[in-house]
Amino acid sequence: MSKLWQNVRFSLRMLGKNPGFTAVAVLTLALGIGANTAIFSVVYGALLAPLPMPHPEQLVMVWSDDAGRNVVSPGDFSDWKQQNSVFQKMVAWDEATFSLSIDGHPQTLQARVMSPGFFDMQGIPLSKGRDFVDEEGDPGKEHVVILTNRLWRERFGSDVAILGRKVRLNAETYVVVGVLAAGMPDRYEAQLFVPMALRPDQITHERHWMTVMGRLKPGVTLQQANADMNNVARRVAETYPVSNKGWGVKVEPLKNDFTSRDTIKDLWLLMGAVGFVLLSACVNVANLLLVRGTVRKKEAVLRVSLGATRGQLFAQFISESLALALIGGALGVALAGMLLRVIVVLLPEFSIPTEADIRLNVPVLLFSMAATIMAGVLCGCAPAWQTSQWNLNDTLKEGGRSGGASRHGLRRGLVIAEFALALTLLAGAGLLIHSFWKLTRVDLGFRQEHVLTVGAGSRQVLLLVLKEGMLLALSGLVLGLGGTYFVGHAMRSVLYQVSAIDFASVGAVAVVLLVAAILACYLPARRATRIDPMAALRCE
Amino acid sequence: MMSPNNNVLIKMEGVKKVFLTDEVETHALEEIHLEIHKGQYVSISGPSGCGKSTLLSILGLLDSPSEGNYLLNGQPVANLTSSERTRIRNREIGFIFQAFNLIGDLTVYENVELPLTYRGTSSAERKQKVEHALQRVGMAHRVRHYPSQLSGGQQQRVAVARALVGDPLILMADEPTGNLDSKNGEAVMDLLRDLHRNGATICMVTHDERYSHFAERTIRLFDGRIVEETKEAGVAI
Repeated sequence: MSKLWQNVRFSLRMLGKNPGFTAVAVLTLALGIGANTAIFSVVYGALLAPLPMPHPEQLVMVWSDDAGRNVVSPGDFSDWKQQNSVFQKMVAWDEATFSLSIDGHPQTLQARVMSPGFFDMQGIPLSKGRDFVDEEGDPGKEHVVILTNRLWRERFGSDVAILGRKVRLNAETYVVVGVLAAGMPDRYEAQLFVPMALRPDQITHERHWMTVMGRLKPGVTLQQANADMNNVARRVAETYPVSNKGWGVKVEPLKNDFTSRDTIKDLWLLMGAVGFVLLSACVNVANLLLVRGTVRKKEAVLRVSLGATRGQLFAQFISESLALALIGGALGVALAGMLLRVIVVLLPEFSIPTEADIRLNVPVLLFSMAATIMAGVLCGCAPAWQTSQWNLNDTLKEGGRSGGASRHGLRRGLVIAEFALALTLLAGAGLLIHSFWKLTRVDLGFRQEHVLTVGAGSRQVLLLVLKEGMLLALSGLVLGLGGTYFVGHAMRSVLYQVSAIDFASVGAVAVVLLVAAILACYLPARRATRIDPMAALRCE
Repeated sequence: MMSPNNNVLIKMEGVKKVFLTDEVETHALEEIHLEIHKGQYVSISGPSGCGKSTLLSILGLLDSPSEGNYLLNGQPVANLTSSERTRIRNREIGFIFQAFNLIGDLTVYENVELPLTYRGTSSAERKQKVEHALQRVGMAHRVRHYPSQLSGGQQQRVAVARALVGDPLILMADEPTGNLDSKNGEAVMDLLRDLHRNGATICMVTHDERYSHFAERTIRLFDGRIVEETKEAGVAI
């Protein structure tokens, strides 16, 4: 423990002594971790988080199955309710539009017409009043309404005496019997709810228009539910062969049942993209640490000569990169909080499930911590490994000067990796942009920045530097093209009139990256050629 | 009373060191036969490039011989793993370098503490040993200072304290006065002599004839070979 504390103390001291380096590294990691945390918040909220209801595993959607899922006829719903043996309760609803008039000011609102017990079945709490009772599902007794908390606040001024208040909906009088608790229901498209009351002549098997949800009895599996409901469907089809012959039932988990495959795929693609951003940030910081590690070569070798094992030295380097990552992580989480606000505003309405609670929560922060630790370890591995390649005797004698092909090899490898990651990432973005361009016929421009740094020399060396830089860039290009192939195929479903390997997009990105690489080699090399060699040697 | 053989701390037989650079062989050491007894103060001298630092590096397990046997405290070290060599360096050898080699970002206290930290010594024991070592070199009043706040002589004293703190079997000093002026150089040499008088075994590399005579035994190297060995009052053996 005391060793760990010593490492941490030393790491923080080192970071404090190099504020420029620390700021660049921390910001780089903060951007990577922040982007990952923000996007993971969306992925977690939309796809991974359990539904915010009690026993969410019991909640299922029940669809008519006619070679594909279909909405349900009132007759089927009625028979299913009576004949099944696997559900605690089953409810149906339909979307509707109501005109709400308050003090003579009408407003059109999305509403849901639903069978009584909808909220109780799901376990969605009300802040005031109650759910609809069974008799309110009878014609003539259905003029009652439940409001979302948002509507109650915004249109009724949080009226504490709302229960029993009469409101005008579609020019008819309804009595408010409940207000939902604030939270998830406020994200529903529907803002008010009225009971579904069907006359006997409306309960037919011909027209399918209801959406049905149910809560399974405890212990009933999805397989058992499907088997039972298909038995019910067969019996109903025997009774009503004209309307029901060939129709089955499909019972599916409620979770993500309304999220399209494309949305799910897009979210994971986005997660992959920001993962690449973090990886790229790690490679950048690892490169910075490698350069700094060279400056600290003598210190590292001295530690080994005094008895530090490779493991202890490794721990020292990792603790330094972890300290960087932890600061970057904390900053990244703050950044993610801000990004999330923007994302929530920018997300098209109802593009993700209403149950999705997009915010920074414990699982998201755990993910963020894992990403931070991974980033810290990734960044620290390269410089830690570098130390194991140094010769103790030579280094102690030479006074810590740099050298060694293996170190350069490692840095070259990292530069190639950066280039490949950037190309893969930008090519993916290029495909989407090209696809969007085709879709909208709007000429979109895009820019990207990517800077690589290499050493310097005379005019002849300038060509050498360019040649070396291009070799690294082209190596990265080849690897990046491989990555682009996989990214393109993964994105195929979201592309419009653009093939997975779109030469225009990939070519444009590759050219931009190559130009950036040429400039990144040329500019520092040209600047260095202006340095007086004798002055440089005197400084040495 | 201990027999002479039990008193041998370092024994080298036929040690050679060959460096290979771009397929060119450089023979840094040739047929080195050497014994250093516990409690001895040995000086290795010779002209620049004669192999004295290479010899000290091998003696200090910073490098390995190309050929020959080397026994440290009776234990052959040729086939030790890297971690075993590290452990021996930490526990049995104390290094004093020409350039002091203190870590600039650690305080005096932390620099001296370093070998004990790697050994896994408890915090309380570390504190007691570090304070004792700094008192021995007269630097106890500078524990919170950083190396850059000290003179060269003071830095070398701290380096000596770091070498002493783990109670090593032998102190290896590579040109300990090389970066010091004559006054500070002599102060450091006085310090090493005091340590030797109190029982420390010291092996020092120096090219400065004035300081080689501080040792009780002087070994002269030339072109990688021991060409002369004198003991105490300049008697060639």
